[in-house]
Amino acid sequence: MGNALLEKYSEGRLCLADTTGEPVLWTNSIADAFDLLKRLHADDTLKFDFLSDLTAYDNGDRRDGAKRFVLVYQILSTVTHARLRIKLGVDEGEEPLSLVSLWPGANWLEREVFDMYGIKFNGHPNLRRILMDERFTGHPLRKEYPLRERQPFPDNIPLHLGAHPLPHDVIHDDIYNPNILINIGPAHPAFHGTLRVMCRLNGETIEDAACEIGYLHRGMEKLGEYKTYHQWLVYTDRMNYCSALNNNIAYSMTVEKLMGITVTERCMWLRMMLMELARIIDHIICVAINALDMGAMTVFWLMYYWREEAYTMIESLCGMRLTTTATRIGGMSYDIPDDFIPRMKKFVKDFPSCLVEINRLLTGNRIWIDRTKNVGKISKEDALKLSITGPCLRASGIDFDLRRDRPYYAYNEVVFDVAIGTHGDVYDRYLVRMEEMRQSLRIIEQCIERLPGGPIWVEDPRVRIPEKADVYTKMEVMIHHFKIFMEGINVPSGEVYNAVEGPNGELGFYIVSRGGPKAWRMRVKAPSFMLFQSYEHSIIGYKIPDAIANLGSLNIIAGELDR
Amino acid sequence: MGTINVSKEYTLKERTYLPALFQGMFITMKRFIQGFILHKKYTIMYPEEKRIYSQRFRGMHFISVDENKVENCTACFLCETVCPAECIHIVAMERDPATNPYGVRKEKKPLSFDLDVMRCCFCGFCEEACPMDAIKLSRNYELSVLSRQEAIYDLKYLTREVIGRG
Repeated sequence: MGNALLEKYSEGRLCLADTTGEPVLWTNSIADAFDLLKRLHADDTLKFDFLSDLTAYDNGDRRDGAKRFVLVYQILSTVTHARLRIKLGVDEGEEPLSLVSLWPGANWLEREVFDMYGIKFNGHPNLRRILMDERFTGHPLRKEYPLRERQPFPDNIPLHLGAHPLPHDVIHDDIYNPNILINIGPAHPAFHGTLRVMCRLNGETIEDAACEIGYLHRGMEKLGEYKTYHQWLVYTDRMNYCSALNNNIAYSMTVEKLMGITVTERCMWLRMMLMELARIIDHIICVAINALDMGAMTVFWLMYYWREEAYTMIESLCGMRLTTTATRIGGMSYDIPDDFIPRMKKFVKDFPSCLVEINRLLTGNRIWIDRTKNVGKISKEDALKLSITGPCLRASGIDFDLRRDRPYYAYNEVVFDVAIGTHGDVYDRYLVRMEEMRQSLRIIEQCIERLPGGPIWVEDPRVRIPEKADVYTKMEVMIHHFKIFMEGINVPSGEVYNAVEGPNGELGFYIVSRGGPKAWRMRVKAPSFMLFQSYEHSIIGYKIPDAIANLGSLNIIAGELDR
Repeated sequence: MGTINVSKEYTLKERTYLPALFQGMFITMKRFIQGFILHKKYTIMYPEEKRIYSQRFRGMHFISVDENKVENCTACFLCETVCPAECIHIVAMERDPATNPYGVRKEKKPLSFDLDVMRCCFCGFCEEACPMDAIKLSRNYELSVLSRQEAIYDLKYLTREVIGRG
């Protein structure tokens, strides 16, 4: 970022840099923070038009100022591609101003902060718990909340419409009833058993909707503070379980950045290849399930054959198909087997035939077009306001891809195109995903070509897990081995936010470390969270079958949504 | 590194509806002939026919034994510490120094070694951490049991003879 431009804003405020040198701006008061964000949002040169993430962390040990909590705003510009982190100290009882007026997407993020930390937002339209049940007492991410204190509830939350009151003038004796309330999910095949939408119907048109989430909440962020960095790797598999490799790699990358480790060339290219393979798998699932939800069974069978092929390849690499745990901090669990590259070459050669077939089945098919075109539209402006990311943002016509615009690893050395749409409807999202699969194949081809030899592990004694043969024979190596597994990896204090372009969108990890083997705050910025929030808005005005088509095209993975 | 706009409008061919329908029927018929007439199969007759997994497949655990059929585990607790799912429970004891044929190589042994497979997430961290090559994963993926209690395996079961993975 042009730091000269930022100087205008850093006057009178503390401007620091995090471990990777990204700017962190500390604001002085609640009014100051809101004012700064408002000015940055309106600035014509910096163009901070996108709220990436809004979270908080417990500052119980008062290492970051005298206030009890620290609110963290991650903002991004989709034009200049710059990032900025803004922090605000908040004491218990203080009420920071809500950002909903600037970015409506902040709605759910603020609800999550309230749920997890008990920070109330002034001016928020619907400040209620989001991941936890409404009857829950306490705030789970506060440090004083014990890890294993569970509060089970026997029944579900009754139907509600978010901030809007339930209509009372329900007419029962008329055929035309403008106020039918229906509840879809969580036990509904298209809603994956974990998503719940409550709608008010007028005839067959949805007029108001509210989502209820948290059915798969497992407290991953809390666990991230109690498990070592090495152990928490396993939990990343269970976030977006359709592309677990992507999560593994993104997480390892974040911890490596925090420790200042650069992985070896071979590891880097291999990871890129695997990330693209994971993207293909995820898009296959999305397109196939979307079609299946609308009754197109053939697409599902044809595409899942290739998913199976890809999983077999992944299984030969790391021993598991879905929950891979393929990476380690500083390397990979295994180097690739001998037959991996030939198989991958075969996959890259044969998979386009599947895409051609699906193209023939769906793209020109009037039934498919009529079901998907102009359905679930999210306009360019709404997409930015609701902070959605990934293929859905691109389908709305915003040309933004983290792989190209904020390249990590060697994405600036490979050639690929970014697919964008125009209308932001289900049809465009489908087309964007189909094109992205082709582009991913292109990247994999280049990765195969350029995959260098050499070691897969970085030779850093802090993270390098010793070879088994050395452990059995050498005393020092044995001691080192014990230290790594008994104590965990010692990460210096600092903080980092690292995002990769996941299959669903921006997958970010924000880790605050106070030194030692466990994180102080482990924040996952999950793309599904923002996507499901936009669902509340994008189904209004459509029919129920359109809502199903819309949900499939957003590709919401509950493991990531609820964490 | 360009940008492709993939968005499409209705074309005349799509409006007429029939070409795409026949195209779809053609693909379906092709697959039908492949499957029902030419017998091209994508499925296997499990359990008569087993799916072959790679050498690295992470399946059910076992504890390797030495030439005297004594377990290699020395109850160092590394696997219990590193396990993210907390599914391993070890009680350690010391071998009697007078009758111990291994000397310093195996001074301790597990009195009990319980592994709750219901909790296990098969990440393979225990195998990676084990400094004695004792706990290992096999390629067995048929783990069904009739009750939860049966899925807690003890030392006797874990030291059964199994072939490890590559």
